[in-house]
Amino acid sequence: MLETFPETQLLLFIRAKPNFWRADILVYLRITPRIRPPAQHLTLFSFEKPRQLGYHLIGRLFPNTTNAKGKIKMKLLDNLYAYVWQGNDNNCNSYLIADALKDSRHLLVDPGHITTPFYREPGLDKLFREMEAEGLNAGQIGLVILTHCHPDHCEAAKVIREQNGTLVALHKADEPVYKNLGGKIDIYLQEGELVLGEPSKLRLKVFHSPGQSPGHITIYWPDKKVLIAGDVIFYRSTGRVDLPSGSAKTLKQSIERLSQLDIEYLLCGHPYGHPGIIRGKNAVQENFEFIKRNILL
Amino acid sequence: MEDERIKSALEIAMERAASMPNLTQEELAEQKEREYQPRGAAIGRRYLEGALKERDLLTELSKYQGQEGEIVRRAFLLTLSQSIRLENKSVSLKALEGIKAVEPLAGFDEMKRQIEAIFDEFNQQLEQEVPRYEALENERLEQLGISGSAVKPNLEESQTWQEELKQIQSEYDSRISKLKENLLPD
Repeated sequence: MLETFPETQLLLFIRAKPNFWRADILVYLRITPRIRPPAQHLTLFSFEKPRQLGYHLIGRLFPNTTNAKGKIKMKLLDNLYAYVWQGNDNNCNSYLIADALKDSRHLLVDPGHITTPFYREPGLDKLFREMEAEGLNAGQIGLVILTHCHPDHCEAAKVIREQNGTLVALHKADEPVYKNLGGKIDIYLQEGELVLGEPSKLRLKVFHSPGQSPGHITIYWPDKKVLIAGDVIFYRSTGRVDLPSGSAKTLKQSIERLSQLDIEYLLCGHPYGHPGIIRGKNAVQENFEFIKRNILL
Repeated sequence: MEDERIKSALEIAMERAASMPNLTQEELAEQKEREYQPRGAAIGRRYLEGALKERDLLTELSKYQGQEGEIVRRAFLLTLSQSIRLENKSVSLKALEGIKAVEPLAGFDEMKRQIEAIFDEFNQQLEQEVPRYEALENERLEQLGISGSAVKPNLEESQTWQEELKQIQSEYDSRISKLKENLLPD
């Protein structure tokens, strides 16, 4: 189902007239190209124009795909789950490794927004509901890793920590931003090995992959050849570097370094024009090559 | 006839002022203190923030003379002395230099040396204690199933470390407080 990710959406807006029984209806066609230039994906398809004109969104139609909002669950491996964001607003994909810690507690990477900023879509509620549908208790999340500290990735971590006493981990270079957002950090993750479980059953590698933010990290699982890439690389696109502390030069270095890894599953931080889950060594390499050829000039 | 003439505004104000109870000397002093104390504190804050240079302090303070000048000077010195704290060595040293510029007490340099020594001792103790507490936190994380070279605990969120830090700080704070008492004029 997710392979037919929406390329085109029909959006219906309504605007009430002063005499109540009359209204204007606006049909808005949103086309999402396969290849989006970096740094523009947030502004290209903004709903701001209809909103400025006083219209309200009343419905959406995705041809050939699901109409569901929120995060859609995908089971990738035995205990690896992807929650792909499909709402109207910008929000991240989340990834969960079940039973990764002691007492069958889970590792969650990038919980995303609590509620999305414009359309107030319940990002965290939807994520928890999707987890619970699979029998995974949200109260059992023992560790949240934040690939970086932009609100669309980290906002919900604060709530999860407060509710469950979950530990929150991130790179120290992103600490000032996270603290400004009111977050508390239990663990600093630096480049090296991350061993989870007791007795240690999961050996992950943390790579410092700056570019979109100075403290961006990526998580590599060598045994399963999985890379959780955050906002370093997407399908045919890369993370933004026009945000404060972004750097095109360091992002390029990070991508070149990650492209050397043996990857079967490339798990991206956003579903931009594609679910953001690239399977198969060839497809992953092809994506890296495309980016090197067309974006990292 | 005299009483019936129309009074000027000034006359009315003078009459009202005369009917008000006179302030005692203490009340007048208090009033002055309330008025000039914030001015001295403000000079102190501006100096610490870098808006005033050390060489300009005397000029700034000399704008106030007599009793007022005394209040401003005292408030300035108090502000600087209060900002000598373990948490920020550079601000503390700047405060010491400011005090020296305005109130060159005998034995000041020795006092400054002692305060600097306390800062160094405190930092040395932290350097010894932090790795010990990090190791303890790492053990705790390992029990939760989290370990490896990528993991570095944040002691700011460790309750045991925060309690220990408070205890260490209070010991050094009391030593600094004793020295600070000698920095201010009687």
